[in-house]
Amino acid sequence: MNIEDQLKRLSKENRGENTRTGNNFRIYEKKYPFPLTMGKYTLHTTFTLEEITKITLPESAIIDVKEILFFDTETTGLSGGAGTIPFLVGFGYFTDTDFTTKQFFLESPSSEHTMLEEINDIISRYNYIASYNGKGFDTHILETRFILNRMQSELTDTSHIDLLYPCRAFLRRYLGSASLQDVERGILNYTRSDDIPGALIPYVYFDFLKNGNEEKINAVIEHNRFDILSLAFIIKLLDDLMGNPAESPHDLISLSAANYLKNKHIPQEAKAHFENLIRSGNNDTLRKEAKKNLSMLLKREDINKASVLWEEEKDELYAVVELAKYHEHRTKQIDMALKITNEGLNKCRLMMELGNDNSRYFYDDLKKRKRRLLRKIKRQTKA
Amino acid sequence: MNIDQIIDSLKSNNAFMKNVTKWETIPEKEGIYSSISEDIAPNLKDALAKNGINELYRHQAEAISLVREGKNTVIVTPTASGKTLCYNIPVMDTFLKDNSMRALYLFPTKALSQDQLHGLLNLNELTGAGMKVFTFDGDTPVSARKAIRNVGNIVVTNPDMLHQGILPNHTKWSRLFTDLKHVVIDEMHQYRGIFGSHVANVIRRLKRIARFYGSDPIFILSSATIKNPKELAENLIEEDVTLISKSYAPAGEKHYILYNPPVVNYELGIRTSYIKETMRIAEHFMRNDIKTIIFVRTRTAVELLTTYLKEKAKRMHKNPEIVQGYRGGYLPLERRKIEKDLKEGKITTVISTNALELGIDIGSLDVSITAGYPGTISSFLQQSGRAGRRNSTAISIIVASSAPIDQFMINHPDYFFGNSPESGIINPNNLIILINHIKCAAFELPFSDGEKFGVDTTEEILKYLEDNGILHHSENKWYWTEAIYPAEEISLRSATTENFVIVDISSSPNKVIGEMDYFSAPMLLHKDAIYIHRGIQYHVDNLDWEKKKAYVKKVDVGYYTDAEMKTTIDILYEDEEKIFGFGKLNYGDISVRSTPTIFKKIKLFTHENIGWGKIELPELEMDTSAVWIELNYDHMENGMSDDDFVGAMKGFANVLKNIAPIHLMCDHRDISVSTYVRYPKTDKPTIFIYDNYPNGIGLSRKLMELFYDVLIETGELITGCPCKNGCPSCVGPALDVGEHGKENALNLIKFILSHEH
Ligand SMILES: [Zn+2]
Repeated sequence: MNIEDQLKRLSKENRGENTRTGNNFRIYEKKYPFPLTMGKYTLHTTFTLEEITKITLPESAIIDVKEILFFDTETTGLSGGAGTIPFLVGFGYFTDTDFTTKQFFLESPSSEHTMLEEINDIISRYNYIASYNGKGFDTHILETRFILNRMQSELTDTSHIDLLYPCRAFLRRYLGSASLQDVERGILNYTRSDDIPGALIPYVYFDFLKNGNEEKINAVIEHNRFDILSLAFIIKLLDDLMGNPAESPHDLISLSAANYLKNKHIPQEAKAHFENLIRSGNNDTLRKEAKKNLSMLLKREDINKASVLWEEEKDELYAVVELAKYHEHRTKQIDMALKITNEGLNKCRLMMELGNDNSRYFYDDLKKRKRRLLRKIKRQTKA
Repeated sequence: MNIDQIIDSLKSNNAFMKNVTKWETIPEKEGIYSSISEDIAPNLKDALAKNGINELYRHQAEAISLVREGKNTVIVTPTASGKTLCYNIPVMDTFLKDNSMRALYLFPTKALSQDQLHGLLNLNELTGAGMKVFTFDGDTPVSARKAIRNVGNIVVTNPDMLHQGILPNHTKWSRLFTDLKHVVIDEMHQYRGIFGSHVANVIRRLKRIARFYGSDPIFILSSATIKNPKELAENLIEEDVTLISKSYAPAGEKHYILYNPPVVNYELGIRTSYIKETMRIAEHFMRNDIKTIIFVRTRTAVELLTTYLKEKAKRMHKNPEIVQGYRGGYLPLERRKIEKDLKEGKITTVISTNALELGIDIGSLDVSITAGYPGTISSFLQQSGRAGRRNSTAISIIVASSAPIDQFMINHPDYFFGNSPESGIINPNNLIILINHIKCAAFELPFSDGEKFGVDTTEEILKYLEDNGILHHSENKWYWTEAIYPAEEISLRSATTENFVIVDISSSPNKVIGEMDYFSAPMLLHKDAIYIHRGIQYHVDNLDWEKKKAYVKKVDVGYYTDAEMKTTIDILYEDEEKIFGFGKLNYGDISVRSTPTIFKKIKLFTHENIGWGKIELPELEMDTSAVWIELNYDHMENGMSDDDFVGAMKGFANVLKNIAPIHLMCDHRDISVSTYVRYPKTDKPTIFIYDNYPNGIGLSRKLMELFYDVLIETGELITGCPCKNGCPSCVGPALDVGEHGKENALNLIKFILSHEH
């Protein structure tokens, strides 16, 4: 379908509230009092965040969600550059009684300066901002606008929690994507009705500028408001997920979270997730992957614990190699090491015959190991 | 033999000398020096001294002092006259006195900027002041870009990157623009025609952005020898520019040899092949291990010569790898390797297209051979500049082809030695180009009411763009309202944005082997054309006009193809009319409709016509600017039959098409000439000379000024040609222009010149 037809299909009624107009830009304000629900999640009160900052900020902190300003922009293009205008900048914040969205909409690009002043004002009242890919996109766009308007941006010095990265890390393997709407659909169990496709958004705005078309612009404002609302839920969801492995909605999410935390060098949380998955996971393949990654994590801090896992996983070649190493270097039971190595070699041969090329790597490793072990034994017997 | 012995042997070789139309020896020249100004930063002086520079050539000192006075300066001195110091010294001096200084260096090509950097980096290191110099181009890793933007004192780039990468993202470059003190534009003469017209607009955008950040940089330009360097510089930057044109640098002895292959058939005016002559000359140098560079005009010729000379090297029991071809179209990596081997001396004979003529540092060579006039004197001078440095004797040979322009130039040696007839011409206000850059500029910064971009009618263009939904006017400003990034779609190198992609379907998987511009594709990539790439012949199986793709297959055939066009011209608007005794000279806008009709198959080497085929492609339509000559000439009264007259007009046009580019400094493909024995509207014999680009790039306009100069030389070329009844070197072969074509064309020119002007 061409863009014009798509635009035609998008007429919707204005669902915004508290609309106030001034100086050629508008402010849309809407309050969502507690309890507020999105899909299967409900927020009853404000909350504190203890976990998410560990992976999104340079220094972890315990923060009250009321300290965070959520934001998202709608722009006239995705390419960035000096000519891309953020014509709608939406914010969201918690109060004691509700979640409030406040959106700034440029009726004319010429009012940008005034709008940026308002934006600076609201940002300056918060300790943190949170976004979805704001580090990669929205802040660049906004910084550019500040420079073009010869203004200092408050964004620059405000700590930024970008939720895209943890969502990607935790959810992409499970969802197959980490777009905000896939997260809503797949995790929150919420599907937006009549949402405007992102690609159309610039054209809706151009149409508004040219023809003053209000109806379609309201769809964009609603789209942006939902983006912000989702952020409030997603931040809670991610924080809970990190703190309570048992709450994880799916083994694959637990595993992704654990792997990510391991790579980010947050070992306690990582271990908790691995252990939870090994204990109560439903999927054997995932449990095996969890055991393997956990054992590698433990290898550094408590190799005896790791060796227990390797014993359990003795069918796996990596475990054979690790056990052989373990006995050769740690328990110094060279005979045991040799026995395990021989078993491993037999297994490799079998697997290679069956056409498994990956075994070649282990095979070469084990062969070298065997030669060395034999030399050691020879030396020991001589001595 | 060493180079001096070779000179002696050539001089005593009668077979060689009888074809030499001019042997010009430029004696060794002493340098004239000036002291380095007192107030240049002391550590820069020390650094120069460490490089053995305790004095400057006088022209360098002059240029530096002009720049330091804040004057825009253009330096036009030969290769190896120390042009780069003319800008590096004032830029570094500024930095040493104020570390926040930023400068932008623009080079026309990537390879060039890589190389020009070395001298600067070396000097910078010696000062120990830690000036940050970075190249920023398509090859710059994304991870390094942020640092370059933030800390680069000198950013070395090309106009394309400035256009597509830097200006549209100027807020990320705010430091550069805030402290921009100098803009260096090297190889200025490259910025002419389409490319120059684009670049002038990129500079308009650059200045506009610099103004926004409160800076007003000084421009330092350098150029090869052309007739109008000051004019071109001023047209490019639209400010006053001071010219430095006399070199005081020393130079080694230089021998210029103008060589015209012998006529083998006087009747038809046929000469021996210039490629074969070049080969024989090159062979002589190769045998003696003399480092030689051979410049040829076409990619095909590169491949031809490379193959021949490799074969010869083998027969001389030399490693054939000492012979290498080099041209545009090779992959960057292949080119870098060849450049490196050349510098290291692993290659002694290199055959190149014009790609190497620019100031790439490939070490000094002893001999340059230019096979076929390279299209411009400045090209020739740059090519010959590749041979010889300060203290050694060097030879530069030009071997004329039988093309009319070659024959004309080989007989006008004065043009080669300091009297360049060439004007660099641009038309920054070509409407298509201008509109494109106004779009880019509007993206970069909203236009304000009353703001001028190049033309007084800027506001009309802004309104036009608003009508097309591209801009939105609100409270005195014009805002960009498209979701795309305009610079991405605009190439500085072509008049149109659409290129054809060439796909080799005989390789598996299919491989893209090159690209070609919209207006050349119908002539070179039509179905059944033979397209030559890297010396390999490809047969065009299919040209998909819609998808802009040509599908080709490797073949090995003994011919090449040459397409013909049918052209119809309508006059749209007359801007200027000059009435003369012979008739009228007009300048204005025309519409040209052309259809490729047939192609001829022409046998390699002998150029025999061995067949033909039809081309079925859609008509191309183009509005452009033109001059046209309307003649009050009755051929019957002057004893010419209708056929004679057709031939005379054709012959005249052929010569015109070859002489005009000498003055317009353009390729013969940049202009077209069409003749009408009777132009339908006026019933008068009419000759149209027009810019071969949509909306014109200023070439034909310049011809209004140069008309008589060009006409006189047209006559000279015909009278100077030794053929009897016309040949490809002058009016064209008798087969084409009739048995008395040569005489008739000459009579026509005499008719025009016989009237007062
Ligand atoms: Zn002739």
